[in-house]
Amino acid sequence: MSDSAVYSGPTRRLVNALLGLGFVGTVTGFAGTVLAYLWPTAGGAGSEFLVGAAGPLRAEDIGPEGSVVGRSRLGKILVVRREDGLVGLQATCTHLGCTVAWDATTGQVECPCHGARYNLHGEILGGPAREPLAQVSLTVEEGGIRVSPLLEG
Amino acid sequence: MQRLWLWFDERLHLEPVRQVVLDNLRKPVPPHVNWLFTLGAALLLLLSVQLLSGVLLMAYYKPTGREAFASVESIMYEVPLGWLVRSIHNWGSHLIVIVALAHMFRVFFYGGFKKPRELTWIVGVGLLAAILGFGFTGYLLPWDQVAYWGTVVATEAPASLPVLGPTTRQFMIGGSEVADATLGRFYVVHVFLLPLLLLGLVGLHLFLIRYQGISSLGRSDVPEPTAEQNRAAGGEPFFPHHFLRDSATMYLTLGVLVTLALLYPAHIGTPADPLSTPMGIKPEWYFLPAYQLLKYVPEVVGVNMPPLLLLVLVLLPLAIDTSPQRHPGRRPRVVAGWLATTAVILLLGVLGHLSETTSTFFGTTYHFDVQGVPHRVEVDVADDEGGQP
Repeated sequence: MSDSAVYSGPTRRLVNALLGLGFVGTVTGFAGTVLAYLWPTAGGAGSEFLVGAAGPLRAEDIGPEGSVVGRSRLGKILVVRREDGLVGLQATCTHLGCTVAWDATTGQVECPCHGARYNLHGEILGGPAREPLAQVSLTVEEGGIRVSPLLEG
Repeated sequence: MQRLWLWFDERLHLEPVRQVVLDNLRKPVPPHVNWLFTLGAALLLLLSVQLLSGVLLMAYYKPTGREAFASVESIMYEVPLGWLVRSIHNWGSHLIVIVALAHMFRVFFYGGFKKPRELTWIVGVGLLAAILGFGFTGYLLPWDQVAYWGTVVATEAPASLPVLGPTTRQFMIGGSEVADATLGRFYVVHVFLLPLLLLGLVGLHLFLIRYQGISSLGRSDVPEPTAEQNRAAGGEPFFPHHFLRDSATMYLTLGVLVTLALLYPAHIGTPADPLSTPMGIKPEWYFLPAYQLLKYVPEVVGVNMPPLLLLVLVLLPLAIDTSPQRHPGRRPRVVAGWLATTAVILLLGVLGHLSETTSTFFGTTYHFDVQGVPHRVEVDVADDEGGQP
């Protein structure tokens, strides 16, 4: 009696579902493309040696109690000259990402933004930071100051 | 002229549209409408000037880390009247925030956000968010030290959010640190996406205001006076009476804007240097409360405060102040809460402004530390212990 008993092709519901699926697929495709396009690309690997704005940094350019900030593959690094040699710390404040600076008069590493203070071991002395600054290992070589992760122990 | 009109009317049947527009213009505003009701018009003017000056700046500005600073310098010192256009854009950004807040306070105290105008208010909050977004993204564009480090701090903040925080930040700035990619993103948001959003929201806001008319002073559960009742009570027609008032305020605003730009031109600092953060870096004044708050509370709290505040504003007509009373005296708790919040924000702003500075009050010099706590630097001979804590 009814036509549906005779008709065996795709139903309206199936066609709607396919159309819906196609539409979702299109939107997802577009959204995925946009997302991939905007996805942050990893920066260059960076040098093993410390580099400043004007090229590789040299250990002899850092005077007594002086300091310098440069880039390496481990990120921005603060180097301070003490009597017993060079000390290296991550230079990016763990609070909100400003670059810390060495204050020779107070003997502390200080962040100019919100006043976080650290000692040369990277430990927090005061201010809003909650994580210490990581120490790095420095070796003075022919090519400049080599930066490598500090091995524990 | 008549023939031109007829030409269009024959094809588009514009007569009914013309009638609606004319009726709308002649509709009387309620009798209580005063000069405070022209703040929205001032804001509209400022936004228009901002759009125009922004388009002009785009003709010379170059959004790359290598060229941005130099291009702004060239606008300031080489392009004819470039300094004026940039100064107007710069001062406009400040005035817009001031006037938007003043407008919001006016609507809050008159209870204008109450039923049936909740949507107008919410669209207004959206506009405020867009305005702050403009401030946030535009701040980076000169690519000087203040711009660079202000943005580092502001974009570092979302990274403290649990789970998706770090990814969100990377996505925002297009890498692991603020760099060329960040500038490109902020630029396109500043000059294209936000203006698009702003135009849409302004259109909707204005439509809702004209469609619903200006709120009465009475309870929101009592039918509002009709146009006839408003006319009988002494309400003046929108055009030309209130329009004239709007125009006067707009001219005054334009005068203030141009005067400030002429007397105190915008300046530019030193080029951004990712390896060295300058001392005492501070954000724009309207982000100072959030900046100061970040010094006292964990980042995750501080970062969420501004968006949370916007959410509270959205909820104000929906869930917080739902009584039918419009008079501020008859909704004391909400008004007290509003004033207390304002006071805290102002205090944080002032502390943020004073922190890490040295100022002299009544002959005594104080140094304000990072937290904004004053320490006496120099004690006058006969000074007492009173005064500042």
